[in-house]
Amino acid sequence: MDNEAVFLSRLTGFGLSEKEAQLYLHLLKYGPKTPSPLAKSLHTYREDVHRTLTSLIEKGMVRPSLDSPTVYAAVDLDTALGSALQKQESELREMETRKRELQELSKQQRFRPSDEVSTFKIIKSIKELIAVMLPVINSLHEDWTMLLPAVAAVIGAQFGVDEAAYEFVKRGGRVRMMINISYPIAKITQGYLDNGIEVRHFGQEGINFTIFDKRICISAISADVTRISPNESIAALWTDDPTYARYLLSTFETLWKQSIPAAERIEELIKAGPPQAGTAEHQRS
Amino acid sequence: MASGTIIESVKDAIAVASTIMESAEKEILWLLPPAMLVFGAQYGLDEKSKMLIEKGGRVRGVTAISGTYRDIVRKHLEIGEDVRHVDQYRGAFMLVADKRESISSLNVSIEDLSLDDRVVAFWTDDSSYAEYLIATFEDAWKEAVDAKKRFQEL
Repeated sequence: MDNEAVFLSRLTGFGLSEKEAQLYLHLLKYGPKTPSPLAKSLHTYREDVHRTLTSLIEKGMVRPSLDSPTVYAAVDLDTALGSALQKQESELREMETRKRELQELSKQQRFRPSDEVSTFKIIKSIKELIAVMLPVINSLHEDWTMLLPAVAAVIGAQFGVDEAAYEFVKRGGRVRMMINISYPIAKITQGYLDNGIEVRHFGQEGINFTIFDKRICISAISADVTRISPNESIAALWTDDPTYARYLLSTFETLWKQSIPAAERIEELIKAGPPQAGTAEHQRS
Repeated sequence: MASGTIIESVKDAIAVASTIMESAEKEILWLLPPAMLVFGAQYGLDEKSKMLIEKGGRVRGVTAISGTYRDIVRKHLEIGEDVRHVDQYRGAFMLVADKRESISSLNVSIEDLSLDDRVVAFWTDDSSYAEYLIATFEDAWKEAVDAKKRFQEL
């Protein structure tokens, strides 16, 4: 490892993220800078540089100038590490207190919000998944929330899940969906929008879950479906645990803010046209 | 009866992981972003892992090893953990002890994680949930490469 990598590694050991360490080292090496040249040198966006600078200022490792345009300077290493150390020490004390509180809570068994029995079970095929989902959708009262892989759009259309969702919207229910919208499913997605489903584009696969009426959830950490048939194997978790539902909902709300409106994404895809043969986008589709 | 709770910050997640590791008797599995290992070391989690290994337990872990995090991974190997490297992992992150107690999260940013970040994680001692996480861990483990091999590549 070269000296620079060792230096960065030591900085992350002081609680800095990789980006913070790189930016701080850059300012130390090349002197005070405005965000634009920093973004250029670090091959990132200005917004990203701003976020990292704000975090470094909070940590006492960077100081902004008072004049305009604002120039950012690295605080000298000794002072910076001293303040980082102080912050860590106070966090350690804080965490020890939290740990004692958690242990106390655990002893009192106060985690469970009620005495109802909740269950977890594993679903092993698409057939089983559809069989579990359809009766739940038909008896939904308020809302249905989901984060799905692109392939789910095709499965939903084939197995009547879409129709059940549209019926639910007609009954006054709210359906929110985040999905990785690519060109082949743009039309299906437009169909969701036309039928009153709120849809946003989330470009990351690997995390999939759905929550019915803030109670029943199905999640699949690694649903890598290659063929769309009822007997295709999956590993999904079904539960009616309300705490787990709150956990997934909270995750959903965080990701919802990071996603983009489906209409915007569809317009973008249509403008770009179908993926060209041989491109990565074409292979994915 | 199994129970569960939601954790909402990186700091609380580390405090919970610390409690889980302390109570482990046989085995710990972890699949974590590398920044979590740095935070874990700062708060003594590697010491708890070392104690478990010294009394005959086994610890296996999967993470994304880059040049920046080579030293921290080396420390985990030195205390006797089996560590592997995975590229481009986008699923849930987790720590599971004795096939029962676990903490997992679906929305941890792997690229840039700081101690002050907000995360949403889930703690439970439900063994079915642990089984579900373990299945995911084992898939990642099979696809991952040995940490020492990864060091050579770096």
